[in-house]
Amino acid sequence: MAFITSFISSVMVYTTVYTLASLGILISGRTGVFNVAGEGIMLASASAGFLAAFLSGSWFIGFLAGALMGAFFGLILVFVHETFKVNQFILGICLVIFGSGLSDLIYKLVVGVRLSAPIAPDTPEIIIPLLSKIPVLAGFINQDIIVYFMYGAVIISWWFFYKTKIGLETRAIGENPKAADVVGINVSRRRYLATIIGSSIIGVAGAYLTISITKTYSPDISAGRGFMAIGIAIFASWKPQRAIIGGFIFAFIEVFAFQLQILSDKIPYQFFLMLPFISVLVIMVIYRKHIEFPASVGKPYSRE
Amino acid sequence: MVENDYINCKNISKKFGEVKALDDINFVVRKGEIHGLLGENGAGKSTLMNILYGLYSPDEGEIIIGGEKTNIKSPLDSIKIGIGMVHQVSTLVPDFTAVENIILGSEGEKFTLPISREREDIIKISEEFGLQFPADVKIKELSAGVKQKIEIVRALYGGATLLILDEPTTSLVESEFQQLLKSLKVFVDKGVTVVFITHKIKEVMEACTAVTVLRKGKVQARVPKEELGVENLVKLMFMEQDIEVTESALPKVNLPEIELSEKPVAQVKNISIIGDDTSPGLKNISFDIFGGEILGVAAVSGNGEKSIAECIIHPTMLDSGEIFIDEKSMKNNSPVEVFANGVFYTPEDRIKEGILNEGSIKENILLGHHQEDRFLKKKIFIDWKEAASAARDVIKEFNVATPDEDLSIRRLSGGNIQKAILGRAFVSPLKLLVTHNPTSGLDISTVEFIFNKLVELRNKGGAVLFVNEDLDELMIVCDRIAVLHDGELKGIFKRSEFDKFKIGLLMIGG
Repeated sequence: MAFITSFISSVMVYTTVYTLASLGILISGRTGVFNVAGEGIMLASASAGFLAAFLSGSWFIGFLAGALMGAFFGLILVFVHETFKVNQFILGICLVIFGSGLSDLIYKLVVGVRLSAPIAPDTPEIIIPLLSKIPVLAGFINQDIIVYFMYGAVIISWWFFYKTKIGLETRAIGENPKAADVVGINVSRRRYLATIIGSSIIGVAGAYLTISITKTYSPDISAGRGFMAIGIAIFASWKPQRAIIGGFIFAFIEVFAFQLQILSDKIPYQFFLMLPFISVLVIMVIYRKHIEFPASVGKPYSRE
Repeated sequence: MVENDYINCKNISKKFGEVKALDDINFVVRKGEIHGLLGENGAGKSTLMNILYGLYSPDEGEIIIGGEKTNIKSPLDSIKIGIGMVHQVSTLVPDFTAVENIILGSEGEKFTLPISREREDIIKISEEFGLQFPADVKIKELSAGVKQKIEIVRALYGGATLLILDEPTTSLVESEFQQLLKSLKVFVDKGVTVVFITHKIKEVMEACTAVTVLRKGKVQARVPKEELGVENLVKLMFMEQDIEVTESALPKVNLPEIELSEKPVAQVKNISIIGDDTSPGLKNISFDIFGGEILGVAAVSGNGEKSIAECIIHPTMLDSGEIFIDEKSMKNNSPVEVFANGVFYTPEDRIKEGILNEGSIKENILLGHHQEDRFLKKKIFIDWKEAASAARDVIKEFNVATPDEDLSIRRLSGGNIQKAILGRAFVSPLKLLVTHNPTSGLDISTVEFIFNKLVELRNKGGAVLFVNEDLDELMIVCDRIAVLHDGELKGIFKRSEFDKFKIGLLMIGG
């Protein structure tokens, strides 16, 4: 039992990374902006968030810096796209490369090379009395504050998109921006808001990698998870309540592969590293008929 | 200013790039009118209304509404002062229900979703104006006529006292049009003023109480009710051009008696296509087309008419049955192989299916002929000189308005694109032309031109399969009309048996 509880506990840590990142992607996707820059945002935010937390000694300032870095990337993405109607995918890939370069650059500028790696301050944990004693369930709730942030973000975005009129309007933009425009909804403003908010959530996911999981920075720390998050957003048909399920599945595979890697010495470890990526492919192929897309995602909108 | 002027657009001008879309327009609508805004394609009707609705901003001029100068910057502003618009292309979200669509953008609490209360209000309005529709079905499952009702109710729910209808009849069948006419009268009784944009004189005559005629971005005249007449309006719309029209304000066409070919050009034998979500497929259809006739296919959109048109040039679509061209089976042939037998096709959606947007006129005219020996050097290289000369022939023969054949085709107007892709069919010797809605959205002079080209082919002994949703047009130009409903052939009528009511009823499954 203790093993299962601790296994789930690790799975939930990675579920948080995947879910937050894909939540950020699907929020802007719902307004038609396909944010493929997730990987770059996570890397830049992982570095900026860690540095801010390390220098200030505050986990909160660290995450704030990560979110701001994400917002900055989101602003570039949506500004260039809305103003010059540049193809979102090309723009996104540019930002991935930019983010990956930026992350190493600022780390080296601030920290330089040291013999012992700097360590981030602890992220506070929330332990709910009694409930945290129940096996298995404890794995879900004996967690740090960002895991709870993820739970909250999923619930709030689900409520926003499906239980409010402003959410209905936001979804309408992703389905048919013209329909939203002609009834007086400001398409461009909503796209700005959604992309900036979404990107800052991706930023939190990036910062979580360094501040809470590894507690230090290393190059290419997100290791493709920003791309996997795109797969999860698609798998989830751009629905928050499904993104957490998708996030859990991929986190499970990742942690499971990691455990196997420790247990087995016959199979090369690269095989296990590959597992999450293979499973994205397999799951997509099996699940493809159930996937829905917002009709206008990835397409620029102009009136004339 | 006359006292009951409601909308007064003064000296409006608008340029798109170098093109002057509107040139010093003065446009007045009075309270309680059903005001027709008539003009051929590209006359500036939609541009003017999009300015009034706040989608475009004018370069010059002002808009006075109810005696007050207004500054409309976005649809939000125009909705607030009581303007509602139903656009030519559906602006509903296909994945939402009618109620969800209608509450989009409406005033009120943004962070709750009190659909049940708003739903009641919406249903009340729809009943009051006689525009009932299923409130909780997703839009994508509804017909064009129902969608239009929903768009109208959306405008009324937003508090519209001026309702702009942009080409509202494009996708309606006759019975739906009659229903729309009735609704228009209800609107006026309830104090709603209507602007009715159209390029069809017949509709203006039936629906409107006053008309403004636009031509090439300028107002030709404002015609009050007493002076409305077909001839008068045709003159205003086309000025120097001389077009004979029928009672339904469509171009007149001469169909001389000619001998049919002895053997059919095309035989369609027991063809079937299994239906799916988007199309009913085809159910065991057989007919022959002879040289020297135009066979019309009449169907309400979505009843298998697209499959009929496509399967002739693409026989591998068929699940069973066979198609013969000149008694030769086309089984398993690709479109290019079918084309080689003297068949050509102009598709329904001229922009999406008919052309390569980024290509030049020359390249587009070569498409489909690109494997013919005439256009190949050493069997593999394209002979661009020959292609250019073929394109120049098409431009000349079909009056395509363009400086040269190297212009990007997307820069042509809809009518000129249609002429170009029709001309493409005639590049090689043509025995059978399959054409789907070639005239949709085009003005009378272009329609007349296209009709004459079809008849020309027929008179030379060629065959035409003319798939079209406008029954009036089919009755003018066809020798026989086949009626299709839900993928079934409901009957074939000779010219002497044409009866608009009877055929119309079969089209809707009656």
